[in-house]
Amino acid sequence: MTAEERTAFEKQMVADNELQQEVFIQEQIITAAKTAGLKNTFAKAIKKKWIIKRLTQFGVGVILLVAAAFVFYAIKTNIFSSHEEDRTNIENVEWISINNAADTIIETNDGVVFAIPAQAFAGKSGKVQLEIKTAIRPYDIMRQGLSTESNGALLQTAGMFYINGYEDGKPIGLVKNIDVSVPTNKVNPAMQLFDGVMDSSGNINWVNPRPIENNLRTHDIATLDFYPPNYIPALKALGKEYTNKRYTDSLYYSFSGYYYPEKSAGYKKLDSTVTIAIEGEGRFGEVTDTLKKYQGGEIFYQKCASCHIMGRDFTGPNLQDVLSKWPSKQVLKEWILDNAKATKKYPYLADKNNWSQSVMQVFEGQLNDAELEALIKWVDEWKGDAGQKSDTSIRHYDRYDFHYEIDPSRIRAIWDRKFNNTLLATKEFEERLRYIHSLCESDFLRIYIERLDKPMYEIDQVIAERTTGSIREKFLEFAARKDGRVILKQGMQEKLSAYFGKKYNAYKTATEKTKAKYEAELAKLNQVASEKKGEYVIRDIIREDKNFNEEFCINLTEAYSQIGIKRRCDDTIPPPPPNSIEYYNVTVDTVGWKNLDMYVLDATSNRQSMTYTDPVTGKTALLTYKEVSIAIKDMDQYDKILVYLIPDSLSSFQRIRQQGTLFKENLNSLFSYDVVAIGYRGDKIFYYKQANVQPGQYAVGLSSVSEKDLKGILQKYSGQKSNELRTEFEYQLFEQQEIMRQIQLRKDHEFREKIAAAIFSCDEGTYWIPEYPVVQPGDFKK
Amino acid sequence: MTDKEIIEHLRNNKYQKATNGLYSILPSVKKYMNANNGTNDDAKDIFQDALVILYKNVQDKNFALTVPLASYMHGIVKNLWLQELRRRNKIPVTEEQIEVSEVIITEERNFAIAKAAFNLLGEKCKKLLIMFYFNKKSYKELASFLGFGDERTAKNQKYRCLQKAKENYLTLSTGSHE
Repeated sequence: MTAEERTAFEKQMVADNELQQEVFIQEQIITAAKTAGLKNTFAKAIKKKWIIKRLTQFGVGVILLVAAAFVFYAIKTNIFSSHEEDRTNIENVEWISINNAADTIIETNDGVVFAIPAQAFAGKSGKVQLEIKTAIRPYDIMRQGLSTESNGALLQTAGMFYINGYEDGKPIGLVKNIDVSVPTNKVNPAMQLFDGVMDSSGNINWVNPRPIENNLRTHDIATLDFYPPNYIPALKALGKEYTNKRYTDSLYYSFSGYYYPEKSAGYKKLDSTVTIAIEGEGRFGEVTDTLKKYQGGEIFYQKCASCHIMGRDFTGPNLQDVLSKWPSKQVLKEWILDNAKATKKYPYLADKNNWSQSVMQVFEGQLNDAELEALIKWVDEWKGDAGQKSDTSIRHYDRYDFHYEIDPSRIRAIWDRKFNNTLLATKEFEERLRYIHSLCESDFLRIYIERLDKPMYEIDQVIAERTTGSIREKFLEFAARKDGRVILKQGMQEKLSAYFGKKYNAYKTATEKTKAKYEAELAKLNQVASEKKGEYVIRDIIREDKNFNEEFCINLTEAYSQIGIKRRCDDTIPPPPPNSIEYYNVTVDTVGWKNLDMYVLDATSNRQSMTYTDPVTGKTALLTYKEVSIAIKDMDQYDKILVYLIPDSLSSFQRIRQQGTLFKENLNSLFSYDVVAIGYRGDKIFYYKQANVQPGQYAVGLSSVSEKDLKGILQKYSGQKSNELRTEFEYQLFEQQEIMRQIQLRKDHEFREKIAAAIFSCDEGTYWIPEYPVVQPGDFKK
Repeated sequence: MTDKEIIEHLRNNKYQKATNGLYSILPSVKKYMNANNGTNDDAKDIFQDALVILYKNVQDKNFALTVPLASYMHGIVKNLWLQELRRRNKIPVTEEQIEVSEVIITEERNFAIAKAAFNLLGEKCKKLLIMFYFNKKSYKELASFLGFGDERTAKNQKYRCLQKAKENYLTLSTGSHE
């Protein structure tokens, strides 16, 4: 062998050796790895065997909560053994690095959620390595060889978890609570949380049980329903927009300041969910009173306003504070119905009769007792320049509000995004609020508002202690659920309580201001209507005076001309004898009676034909009045019908009075008349017009017309007549609208009464123990 | 379960079934250990090692059991324990002769360095190598189980772990000699 060959060989040997060694070592390592794996496998196999042995020892008594069947099946068929190959790898362990400075949520593959708040660990670097082990599925529990023993007794388990935090490899402590959510098929309220303590053999003993408090899940408070339980059903039953939140909120909040006294009354249930107040004493007695009030206004305008103006004397006396001027309501009623009969019955009423020359109209058969009641109430409550008295039939008890039902302004103050992420923004609270509404005590709401940091079950307990009967049972039931809390930041409770108080007052005041404004508006409208009516009546009288004047003049001139004398109208005539029924102001400035004058006066006043023979000349003067009678077809379907005569020779129109179902008037043969009939129904106008109407009987129908068109028709008459006709029409239209308004007011009020009954429908049957002394409204007399 | 069945299970990698069959030996092992300065933990550990050795022995097709398996296992346990005691410098009062092949045990003794070198690795490396060599997982599976980004990373990681283990081996073998 040459020297080179030798060197080469030696080199090769060495190289081979190194290589060989390398290979050898590697193989050793690999074998070591395999051996380690094998050892692990056997270790687990031993553990598993141990567990199954223990389980089979106890047999039926041991059930793992989440999947009992699985365990038994496993024991019977030795199911574990068939899958070892793949099961013996990683345990259900996760290593996760988190940022300690931020909130972290971790969910494991078996559904356990760890909610770790920022700075939960006492680390410095900000980076924390978490070791998390979970064993929820029974398979995992078995596989990890976990026990379910607590001091020797076996437990049912819903799952086990292990969490630890490390910083740079060293374990660090937990300084804040971590929320852990363990998935389960069914919540068992008896489930408790145990700590696991590992002994030297690696067995875990579960100790230190404590109840699990489930933190409540919050929702956007705007999506919850805080209304009183009957509110929406009532709206639905009345056919209103119950899905429009702006509307339902606005309507509900408008009832702030509406309180009902505690005494209950009889009220009929319209159906199981909606109660409608009907006439009755006590609690809902006020309801009918208010209904009556609005109805009274209608009646006044329709029947009385022609002679009475509220606040001053007129054809009839001022009716303000009417009841104070009458011995009893009953007598007043009788007077209204038939004043002549009443005076006969109660002679002292003769004074009332002598108040003026005019005689009050009789209303027998036109007003029933309920209407009389309504009318009298309305009149009696009418208050001076302020218009109508404010709504006293529903009493306000602001100062005593802790005594009564929940004011909607309270709900408004909490139904606010400010309370998101608090106890109030939970379905659990929404559920309880429905019951709180049924208690006749708004204070119970305050209990929640001042305990926002407490767990729900604690508050449930507080309420249960203050109630009895079915409500108490209900809240005990709630308490047993152990519904937990919503974590509240430090200092928030005080802030939120203050916020609530402020908002509640602000809303209440705002609602009251709006209401006051509304009622002032209402009063103003009533005042305007009253004044307009007053003005109208005066105008009307002036017109009639004028008409009479003119007709008289024309008749006089005609009569005199018939007997051959030229007589001018501005001759004066002394006043007629005092036993005339009507007194018209006729301009006179000459003294001396002339016989024919009297005849003409009579004829004109009575609108009757006359014949007069002049003793001197023997000539006859003749004035003819003949009746025209107009019947309107389908009269009943109109709210109001007015029929006018428009004589060609007078400067204004005449109104034909309705007698029974006909409009009758005596036409003066000297004039040619047009007749115009105007009917009103709701906001619709109807009319009939005929030119040159003759004495006799007519039956006419009205046709629909627009306001504009009718004004145009009336315009066609000359000068002053058309103005006066237009003014008359405008007033009558206004009056019709006014009546419509009163009717609408009454309907609105009826609606509001029904809703109020639904909202404030607390269950009187709940006895409660108040935190504050019970106060009666009378205790705070002004 | 008969001895034959247990051996069949071991040969077919039915670890759990085999363990179930051999489980009944554990109490006597514990008893022996306790009587010879051993704790229950030691017993568990030795038992596991014995199972590993048994497993390796029976892989040889020519392996034939001449004594009851329980006795055989006992033998292995005793031997391992003696070794361990010697390592801990607690030599027992009596040494016994055993029926088990010394050869296998010696091999195990030599193998100790590799075992030690392996044990010095970090948990993740150990898991990785076990998963790869014992469980025979693919690089893809390794990547997903152990949280590596992709297969290449897994491959890299395995290489590095193996290198570290070899280093450990060299350090140990120059430092100590059995």
